[in-house]
Amino acid sequence: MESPNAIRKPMYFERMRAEIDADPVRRERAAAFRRQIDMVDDLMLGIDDRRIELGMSKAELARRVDRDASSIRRLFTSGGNPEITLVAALAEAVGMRVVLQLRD
Amino acid sequence: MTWYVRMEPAAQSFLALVPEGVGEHIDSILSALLARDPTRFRGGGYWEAMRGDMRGWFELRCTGPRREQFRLFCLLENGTAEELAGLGLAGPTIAVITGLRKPHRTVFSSTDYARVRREGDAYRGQVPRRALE
Repeated sequence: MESPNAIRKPMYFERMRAEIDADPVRRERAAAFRRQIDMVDDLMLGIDDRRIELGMSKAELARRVDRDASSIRRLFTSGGNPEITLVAALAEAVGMRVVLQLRD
Repeated sequence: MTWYVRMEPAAQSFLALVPEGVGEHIDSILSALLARDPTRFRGGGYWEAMRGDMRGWFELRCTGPRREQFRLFCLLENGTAEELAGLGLAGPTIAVITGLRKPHRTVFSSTDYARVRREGDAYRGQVPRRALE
């Protein structure tokens, strides 16, 4: 039986979302932010997934980009906002490249 | 796995006063976290596991007008279905406890962080977690 206190709806968050969705300007602003966030997440996850596929440790990846192992570990476990030159170096180290394309 | 977001009263009060654009940014980050799993999210400094005295906390970060910095302090509630049900939670949950803001290139004080941790302790002390409106 469902607990009487079960939180079936995250009310405040849903209301906040509904308010944003109801306003075309705010909706588009939120959608643009979301595209940026997804892009960065895809980029970092893509590099990390490839590293795992190659059986490369984070320490080895750090060595290849000449960075401190703890900073690379932190980047992939705790998050962070790496410089674009570091992203390019990480991609290179796992045999990838960053490509720009027009969005739909 | 379906994640939920719950906003504690202190976080709701904080969000009610953020400037235009910041709410949309926070909404986008939270939506991305729900869609992508907050334990696996790597996206660009918007969501970071905290260290030191704040170990166990997550920080949702965004920048507002004049580069003012906005932070939401969150706890992740995860466990077995029985454990979560025991807490009155429908599933794994991002509990947004409270928020702080600061001018660009400034830091929060240890007192600020201590206050956040006290809010977190009060939240964790609720078994089951209180139902929210």
